[in-house]
Amino acid sequence: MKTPGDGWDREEREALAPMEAELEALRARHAGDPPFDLLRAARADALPPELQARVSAYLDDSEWSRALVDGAFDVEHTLDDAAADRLLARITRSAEPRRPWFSRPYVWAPLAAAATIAIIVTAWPQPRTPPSAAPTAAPAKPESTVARAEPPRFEAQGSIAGLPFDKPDVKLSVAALTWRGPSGSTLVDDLAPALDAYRRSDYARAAQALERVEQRYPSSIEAPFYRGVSLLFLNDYPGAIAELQKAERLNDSTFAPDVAWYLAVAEQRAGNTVAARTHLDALCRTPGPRSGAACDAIKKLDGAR
Amino acid sequence: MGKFEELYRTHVHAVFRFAMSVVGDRATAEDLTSEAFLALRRNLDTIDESLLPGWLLTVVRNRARDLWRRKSVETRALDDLATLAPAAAAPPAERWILDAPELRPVHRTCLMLRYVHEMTRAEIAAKLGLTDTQVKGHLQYGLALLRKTYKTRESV
Repeated sequence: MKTPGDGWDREEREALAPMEAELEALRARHAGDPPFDLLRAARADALPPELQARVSAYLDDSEWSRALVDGAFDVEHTLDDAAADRLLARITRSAEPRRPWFSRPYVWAPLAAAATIAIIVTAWPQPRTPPSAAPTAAPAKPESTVARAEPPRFEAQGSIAGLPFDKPDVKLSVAALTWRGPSGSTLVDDLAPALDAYRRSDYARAAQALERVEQRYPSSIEAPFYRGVSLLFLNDYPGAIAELQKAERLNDSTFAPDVAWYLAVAEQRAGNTVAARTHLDALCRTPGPRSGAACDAIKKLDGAR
Repeated sequence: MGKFEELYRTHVHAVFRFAMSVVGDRATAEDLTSEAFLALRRNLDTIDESLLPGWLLTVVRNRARDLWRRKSVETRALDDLATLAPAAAAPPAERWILDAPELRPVHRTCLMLRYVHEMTRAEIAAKLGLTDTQVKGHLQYGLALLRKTYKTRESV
């Protein structure tokens, strides 16, 4: 078991020996203090509002905690010229607009090659063969190795019409851009293959890859959200609801309207019209990117009754 | 030099310093700084320059809040925060650490983290964005003062 003096050098042990009992009392007194990182963030007013209020109140009452975090603001952190240049280059790179897929040469090269081969094959003189007397069996379609699904169509379900269901564009939260995994890889790096599959509408592969990302980054909003949408495209409504509920619990303000909308869609398609209506009501009441669509959907649902 | 680069060179050090004081970790502070300037670059045509660097610091603060939202699981343990405030009388060592005028805030924090919150020197260095040698120097200074105080107290 670790004792307080573990790891102290001789100088520390000698200096602190006369006051060990007092230090022990101090340790007991502050054993339940909030973590240093939390106190420091509160001091900079950089916590979500509810947490900020509670930790600030604690800081107001605890002279010890205030003094503890004062030291963090007493250190003169510097960014040398090389680091400043590196950061500027990174910002400039990130600010460059991404080229659309059709302007990338590697997209066109294989297409051009395929077109050339097709022209040669078509134009090449073919030996004439007499038509066969008996029709030959059509070759079996190759089994697709990748499950692709289109969005479920708008169908009447029960007494209400289906909610409009489009494919949301890929966006990333700020945390995704700043997160690092244990091995130094970033969440963005780990998400890339999954989101590429999602962009290609390869929802089965996207769902599999996102499941792995989710296990590695349980607090990432991107993984459960895009996995939920992928499962929705695969018509796995209970799976989609479970994933989107996970995304909902992460409470990310950037994703919240989309999470609520797709939850409503999934619930409605699963036949849970009351739950769908609850999400739509909340969306309609709160001004935001999905509020208009949610209010329209409610009118349609009410009209269909 | 373009307008953006000029603004970047003017404000990057203040923004980075603030980000470091909020998160302590250099890599995350650089990420937050880069996010703030990326937002500036995207809003360059509309931003009122007289709002800088406050506007950039607000972006850093908001991004840091988003990071904490992700840590909601960790912060659930703080449900009983209000009841955790120390109630017993403070031992004299606490008053000495808090009141010794020769201690700078960073000395005080190093002493507290090392001898009360039981962190290693490497952990303290990581939390404060210092080197191990700097932490060792701050601790040696604090310990020497503490030793002197206790010798005086015992002789009285």
